Amino acid sequence: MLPIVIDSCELPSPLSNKVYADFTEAADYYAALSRLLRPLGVTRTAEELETDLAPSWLQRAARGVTAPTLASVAIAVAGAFFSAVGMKVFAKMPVAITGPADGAVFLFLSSLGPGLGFVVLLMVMLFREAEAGTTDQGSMFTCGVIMFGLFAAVLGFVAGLPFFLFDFTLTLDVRTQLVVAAVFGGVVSGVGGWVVIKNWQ
Amino acid sequence: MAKIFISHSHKDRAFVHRLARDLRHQKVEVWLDDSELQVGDDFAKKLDEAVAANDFLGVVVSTNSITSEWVHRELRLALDDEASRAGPKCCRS
Repeated sequence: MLPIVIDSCELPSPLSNKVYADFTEAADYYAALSRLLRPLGVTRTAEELETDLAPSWLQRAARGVTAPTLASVAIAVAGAFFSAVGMKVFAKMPVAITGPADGAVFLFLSSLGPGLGFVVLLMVMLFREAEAGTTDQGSMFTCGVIMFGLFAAVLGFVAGLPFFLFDFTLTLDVRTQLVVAAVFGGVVSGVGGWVVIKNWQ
Repeated sequence: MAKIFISHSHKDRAFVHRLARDLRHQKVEVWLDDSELQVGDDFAKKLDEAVAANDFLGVVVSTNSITSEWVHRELRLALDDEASRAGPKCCRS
């Protein structure tokens, strides 16, 4: 009988006189595994085991990916794509942003991508909730649209604020406009998606 | 190849599955009740068989398992099995 102790607690009486493999410290996992393997006829040092068994950074990253994170990344990619496509439609020439209204309009156009990202998110969630049959889909969709409206309004205000406070002109060529829209769309969709998914889980 | 049955509380499943994977990687045959039992199996009978059929019983001791009735049951079975394998001690005069 081989006691394998994984947290600080008292050994049951039939085991109390036995030497145990101590897995209570995560850092000593391979040393404890080495001790546990010995009576099983396997002689390996902790270092050898760590070389054989320790997950690569890629495996660790893959294990850390949870469903909400993965969904948020997908939404971020969708947001970046839609933002760039949306901006491609509107951006035909270099644009000079000279005041708060221009700034707000530019960011509002950029937020078309995140908006579409949110619609994708809402659709995914509606399908999920429909399968579970737990949520009133109408009110959920309304709530999502209102949230996006508020979100876009706040973003427009924040974007226009620097132009209102400081008198300057920002000139963006077409390519920069696309890059700004894609980055903005990706980040906003991803973060927004993650917050929404976490709160609705 | 050594065979080990790991008795554990289901609340410690994450640790136990990692340990089982690492032991199997070192060519140790591992028996876990949640992976070996099939729907419809007689749980108590299967556990008796598992304890008897394995060379070692690994008991995962944690705050979860020390309150688990099943872990205590598996421990008792293993102790009985250990006693019966040792056989009666006899001395010659």
